[in-house]
Amino acid sequence: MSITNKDIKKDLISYLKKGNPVLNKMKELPTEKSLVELGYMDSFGVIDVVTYLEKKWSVKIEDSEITKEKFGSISKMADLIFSKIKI
Amino acid sequence: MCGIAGFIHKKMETTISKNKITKMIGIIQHRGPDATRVVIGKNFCFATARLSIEKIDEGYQPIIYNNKQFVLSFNGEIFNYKDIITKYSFSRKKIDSEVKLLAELFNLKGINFIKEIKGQFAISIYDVFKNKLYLFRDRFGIRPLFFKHQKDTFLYASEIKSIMTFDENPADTSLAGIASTSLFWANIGQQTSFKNIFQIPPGSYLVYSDNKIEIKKYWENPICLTNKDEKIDHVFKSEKFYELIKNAINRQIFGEVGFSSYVSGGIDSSVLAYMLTKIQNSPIDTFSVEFENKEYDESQAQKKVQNIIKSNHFSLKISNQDIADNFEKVIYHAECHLFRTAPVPMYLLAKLVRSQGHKVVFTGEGADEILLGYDLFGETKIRKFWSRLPNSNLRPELLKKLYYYLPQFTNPRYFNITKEFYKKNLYYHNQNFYSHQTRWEQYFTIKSFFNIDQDKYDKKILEKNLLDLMPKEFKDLTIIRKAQTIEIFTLLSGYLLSSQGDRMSMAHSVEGRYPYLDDDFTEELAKISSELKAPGLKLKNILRQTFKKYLPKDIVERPKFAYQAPEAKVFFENKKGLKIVEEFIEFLPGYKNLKSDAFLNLISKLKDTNLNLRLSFRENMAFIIGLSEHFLIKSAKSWSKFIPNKNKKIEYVYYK
Repeated sequence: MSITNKDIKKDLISYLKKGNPVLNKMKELPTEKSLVELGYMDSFGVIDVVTYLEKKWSVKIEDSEITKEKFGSISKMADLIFSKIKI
Repeated sequence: MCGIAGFIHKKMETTISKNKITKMIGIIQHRGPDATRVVIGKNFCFATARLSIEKIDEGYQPIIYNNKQFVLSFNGEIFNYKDIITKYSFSRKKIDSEVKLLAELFNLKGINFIKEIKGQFAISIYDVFKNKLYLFRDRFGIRPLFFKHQKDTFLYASEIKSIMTFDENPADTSLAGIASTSLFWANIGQQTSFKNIFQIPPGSYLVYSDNKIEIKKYWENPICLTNKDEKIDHVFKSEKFYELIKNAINRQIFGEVGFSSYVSGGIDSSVLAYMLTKIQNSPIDTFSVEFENKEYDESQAQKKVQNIIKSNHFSLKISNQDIADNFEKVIYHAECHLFRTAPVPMYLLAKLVRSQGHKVVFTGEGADEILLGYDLFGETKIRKFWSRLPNSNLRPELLKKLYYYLPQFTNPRYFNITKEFYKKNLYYHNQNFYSHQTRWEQYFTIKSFFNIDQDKYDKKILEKNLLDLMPKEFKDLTIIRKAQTIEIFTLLSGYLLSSQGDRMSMAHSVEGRYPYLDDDFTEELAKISSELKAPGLKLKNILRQTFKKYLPKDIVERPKFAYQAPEAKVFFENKKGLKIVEEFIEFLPGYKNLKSDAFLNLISKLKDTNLNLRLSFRENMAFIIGLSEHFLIKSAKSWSKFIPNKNKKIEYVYYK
């Protein structure tokens, strides 16, 4: 069975929820907005999530990809990983 | 240096009151292992456990003074002892100890005597004739003083554990303590981490009479008051500054032989060690912490200082395991929720100081607050500068200069997003707490691990509580003076001088000396403008400029490297650490202040996390505060069951 964008998103959300009770309590997460801007993630948290995604999906995220435009929201993160797995 | 304790009651049999005061003083004998004395009266008991610094000083305590009118005890040092004797022409024969000086001065001037005293202290004076108890705490809150009022009994002590031996049941930990530690990183005002137990705030005194309590401030830090330009010096003279530091250190030398100083590798303690070596005119003993984990280690810088001053240097290598192993003991002594593990190395270092025969150690606390050393002051300036051109790519780059030791800044990989984090709250310069907003925003997440959903633990309400403690002049201060004031009212006394200071060193009967918090030094420094203290991003510039002649260039120019210790991950690295986590999990369901689901989730994540990396700031903090709650509850149980050691000699005096 191939991995879908949705699977990546789901896994990422469950990872984020573990370390953050505020997100955990939410029925629907703001997947389109910047987690940093919303205050759900701090600067160490970014390192944490990048490292997690790289390890989990065996991909390499480039420096130039860790920006608000490409990596800002949950959806953007999932899209980025998905595009890498597809290749 | 000592531990003091006492209580006033309405009606209690002497055998019972004797038993209670014996417990109260017995549990804090680490503060004063040299002599313990108890005075028991009809409706009061007072006790002191003494650590004698000067051998010639025979100043036993508590004393009964002035035709039996006063019973006095005291913990600390009065640095202007000789000046007061001269000023009032007191008889040196009659006044052969600090406690007698306090008695004589109080008798002469009443409550206002406190304004004349400079030093670090907690003083208890009971007027038997008027049935009035006075408790005084030093200006910065270097020495601790806690109290509890229940029905018609009033208790006080140098440490909370002493108060807790009084009743059979331990006091509950307080949600207010958790909330305050999560937001401000410390308890503020009178609050402690236990319900119904309070502290006398720095620079304040308490009067207890007719079963009523009154607390008043007798001193306000001039740094938190001065803003007017005409009062401020805009010309910097390094000779003058050198004299100020020298005098501050000299005032705090108090008959000890063979100085010792902490040396962190930063400029503050390097200056102290250098000056002490010069004053003593022979090598002093220096002490520092090294970390196995290179991310936190400053040993290279420490060696450079040692090379210059040729001190007898003792360094203690701290492993991650040491942090995990000693965290419980540290909570036992700190008696409050901790937001980080950094007190652990200080606890172990004090033990080393003591093992080398020292009872006193000089330390650099206060320099960052008084001389503008914290990154936070630089960060505030950068944010303000950046806010004028929010889309600038260059302005936020300045943050890298400040936080050169943190991976999310040095690694270009992460900086783009890190930048976004600091971009929030860039405006609103008029806000009282502008400087601290980035830090305090984290509260929102951290609080979600605890049952602090009630309105009274709302960020805005807590900020209002803090504002109420501050002088009314606060709102007119500049952004930088405001930031300084916030640090002084939160972290300085509530964490640095207590959890990292007094409680850690006194656990091993070692007294800290803090020349940067000298009364006269602070007063003079309040008159110097912030721009002179820290022009641009040159933090603590006047200290650096003054000492560039004497200390190696790379020490003088070395930017601030914030003292930190390995955090939550030390508990997840091996079986021994995980055993502590397992114990925490076992008790979690019974802890009503903690959200156990949230902690279980976090723990499961931390167990799977790549431990080579630093954890997120908030997750770290939530875990450490949660684990402190566990050890606080455990410690409190042991305090209420305390049984005094019968082999320790206590002198009982009956007031008749």
